[in-house]
Amino acid sequence: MAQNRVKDNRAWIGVLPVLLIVAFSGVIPLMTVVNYSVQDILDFNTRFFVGLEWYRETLDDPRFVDAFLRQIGFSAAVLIVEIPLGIIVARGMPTDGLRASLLLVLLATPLLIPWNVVGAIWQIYARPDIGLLGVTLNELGIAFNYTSEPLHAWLTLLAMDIWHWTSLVALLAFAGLTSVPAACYQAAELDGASKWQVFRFVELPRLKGVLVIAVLLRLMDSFMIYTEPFVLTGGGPGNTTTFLSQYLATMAVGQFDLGPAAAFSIIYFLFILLFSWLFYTSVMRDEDRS
Amino acid sequence: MLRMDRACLDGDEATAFDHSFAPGEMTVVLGGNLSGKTNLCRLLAGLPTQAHGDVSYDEQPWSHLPPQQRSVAAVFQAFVNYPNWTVAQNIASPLVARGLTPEVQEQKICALAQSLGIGDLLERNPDELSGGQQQRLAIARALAQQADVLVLDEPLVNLDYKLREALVVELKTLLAETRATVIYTSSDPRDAFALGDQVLLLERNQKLQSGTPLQVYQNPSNLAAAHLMSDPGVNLLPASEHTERGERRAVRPEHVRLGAETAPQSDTELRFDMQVHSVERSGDETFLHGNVCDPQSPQAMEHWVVRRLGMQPVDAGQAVALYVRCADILTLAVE
Amino acid sequence: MARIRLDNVGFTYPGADAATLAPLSMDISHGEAFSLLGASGAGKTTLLNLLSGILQPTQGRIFLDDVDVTGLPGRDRNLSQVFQFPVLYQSMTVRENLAFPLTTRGSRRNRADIEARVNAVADELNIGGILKRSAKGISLFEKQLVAIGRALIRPDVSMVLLDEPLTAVEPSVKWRLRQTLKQAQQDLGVTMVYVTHDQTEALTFAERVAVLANGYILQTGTPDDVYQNPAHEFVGHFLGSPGMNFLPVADLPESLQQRVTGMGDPERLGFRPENAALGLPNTFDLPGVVHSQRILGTQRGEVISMYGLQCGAHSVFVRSSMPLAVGDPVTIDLKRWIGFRDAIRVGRRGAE
Repeated sequence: MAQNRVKDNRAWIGVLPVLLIVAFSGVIPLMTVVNYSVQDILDFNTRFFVGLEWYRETLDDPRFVDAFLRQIGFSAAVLIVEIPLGIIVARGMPTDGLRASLLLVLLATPLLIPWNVVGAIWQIYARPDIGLLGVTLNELGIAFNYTSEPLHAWLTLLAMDIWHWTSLVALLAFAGLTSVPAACYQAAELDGASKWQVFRFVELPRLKGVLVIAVLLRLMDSFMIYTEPFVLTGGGPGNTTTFLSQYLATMAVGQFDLGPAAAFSIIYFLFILLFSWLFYTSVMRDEDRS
Repeated sequence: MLRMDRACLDGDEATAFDHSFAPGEMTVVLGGNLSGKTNLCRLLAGLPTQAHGDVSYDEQPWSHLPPQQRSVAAVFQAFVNYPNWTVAQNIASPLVARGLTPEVQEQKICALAQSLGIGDLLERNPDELSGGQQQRLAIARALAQQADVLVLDEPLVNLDYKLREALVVELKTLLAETRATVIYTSSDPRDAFALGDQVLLLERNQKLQSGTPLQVYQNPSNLAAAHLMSDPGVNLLPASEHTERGERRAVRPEHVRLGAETAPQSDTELRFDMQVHSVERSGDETFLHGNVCDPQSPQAMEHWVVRRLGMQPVDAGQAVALYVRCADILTLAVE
Repeated sequence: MARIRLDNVGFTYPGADAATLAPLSMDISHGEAFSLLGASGAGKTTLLNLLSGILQPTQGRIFLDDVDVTGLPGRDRNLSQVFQFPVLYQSMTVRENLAFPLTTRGSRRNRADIEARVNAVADELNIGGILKRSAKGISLFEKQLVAIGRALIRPDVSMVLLDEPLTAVEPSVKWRLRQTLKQAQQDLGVTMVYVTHDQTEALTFAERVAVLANGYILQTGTPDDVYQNPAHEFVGHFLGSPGMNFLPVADLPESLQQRVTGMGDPERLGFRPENAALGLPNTFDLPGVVHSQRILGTQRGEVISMYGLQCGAHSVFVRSSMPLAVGDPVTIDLKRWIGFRDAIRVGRRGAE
């Protein structure tokens, strides 16, 4: 209907409230942070312009670099497990009937639990003295203790995140799979395609869109993870599960180093943006070409 | 009388044209995709469109009136009905707006529904109707408005052919009873013959020709007009058939005779030889597709379609002799 | 390719009262172009799904080359199918799409053989020029050609099922696809079953046509036969545009009734619009009044019209070059007609 479009600029008035909300909730706070990141704030009345000093300091800080590397490791592990697992779950779902509805509700349950509750649940569940998981593992002869063993802490965190978020990937993939026309499966069957080929050539190309969204959501979300590890391990043992956001919180809230914390935030934000952009453009590039 | 002055269907002044729609008659606006048919309908109905121009009815200017204040009813390709109202309520909607008493409304609803063959469905909701019934309902609602001008934009295009066949005949009878000026758009010349008192040919937002269907069929003003008013399009005689510059000679698919049918009359007929590529049969008609060469310069080749009555015993790959009456050859300007 | 034999095959959905497909027997020979024609809901798709193994018949047996394949899934019947909308592997090139059925299911073919077969089929369909393109980047017309090519790629395919394959194709190029399909069918000698609701597609494509309505096969015959000699009133009505006219014998004038008696004692007479002539009043036996006119064009300078005529309580269409206006009285001469009793053909009269 593009040919019937009428020139009319009044629509901008309708968009104005949204622009205002976005400005106050997004742009203005961000600018405040940018402002902080280039100043040294001693108290509310005494501040100096320090240029890029805080940025340099943050990037040179070995604790920042460690937290950053841990963060990348965690996000990578989360994606590597959750995306394939979500697809496998989605493919195993029945497409209609009462069973499908029940399974969908069941799948959605972890998504409805508040994050700190998830942390608390796993904190108790994995405790070696009273937790079902922890006690069971110890009974089986595995000396499991996530409060003292960094590896165990990591595995517990991963298990928790997978339990919490695989459902999201599965639901997205399920929605993608239901849009595959029946004729495509039928054609593949008549062509003699194997199960793997059906997945690779019929389902995967049509899942691409939702999978990109799933990866982006999980990437950004896991990169910003705070509540659950804070409740579960508190960043320990030592600093072995201290991720970026937790380090940032310690800096900004605990030590009130507003300037470095602001610089940290900006760097953090730019990283997420860059990662997401790189991923999105690399995946969607051949999409545009055709 | 409904008039358009300096109507630009695509907003480009160069294509502007004037047209008067014959009062109380049905004008079939014939044009292909993107010919500007829908813009013309929207211009007449007063709906937002990039088309502009002066529309007047009986000397009363309409251009600045919103659709509600024009005496115009419209039916578009997609079946548009009020989904949560019954068939009866849908038909009644324009009657209520006119402030008629319930008894008179009732009568009119029944009469309209009856004449459109949806009399038994008055209590149904539109989503319980088939596509054909939904479009009949949309037409009934438009007729209930008793507007001076009725605009039908390809109303039957989404229906299957058996249903179209039946509805075209019904529409013709039904619309003859209203005294409205009807504008019916289509891309099918058969609709023009079946429904049109007048035709208006459009191509790329420009008016090609207007007149009665037979006039336009017999004397197309140029090649594009001949193509539009032909199903399938006209066959061009091989280029070396000498003509003036900017002119081509052409013949309609139904005016090409197969040699086997009757003996040729060499003085009044031209002979062509066709290599048949494919044969299509619809039962009552046979269509032969193939290439026709000019005997003098064999590289000048034209793709022809021959349309004959009945099931013709011709197969793909065969060479056939074709005869064309000189009187049936059209000499046409090429734009 | 194979001979397809249906022996008393029927299908009823579980719990349904009436059969979706009444028991039928059918024999399609090696390399035949066969067409199933019917309106939507006639049972065409059910029959197609029985052949392709998506559905299993609730009674009867299906044989491919005398091998009972009833109960076998589609993949074990070695058949291929073309769907309403082009079904391609989006992430592959056209060449990969065509080659795919040759590389699956342990096909013991070497690369050179696959290459040769892909090129041969691509040549047949005239798509050699787009083999390297991505399946996503070609037109809808080309996509459907590639889908057809994939269906034809296995040289030993038992049958090719076509489910309204021209639905998605633009009207102006449909004939080209029909032509290509028919040519390929003849060149490769494949058994093809073509399902459609479009009479032109069915009559053009097939050597034999089966007309379906309400789950029954009403008639199977050559295109000429089903058009000229409909065995059932519905066949006469469904084929042709407009379809066959029907008049109850009891409503005919006395003189005509006498001509009809003894011809199987029909209840209704059916005649095609082109198989009747019009004359002035009192010329022929059957009177009528013109109620509508659709000009069809000119023939040797004369205007030919399809006239709608009111004959008593009935409406018929007759094709004629007589110049008439709405309201004119005429008489009708039936040159060729078929008698029906209980909607079944019982007799006919007229030039063969």
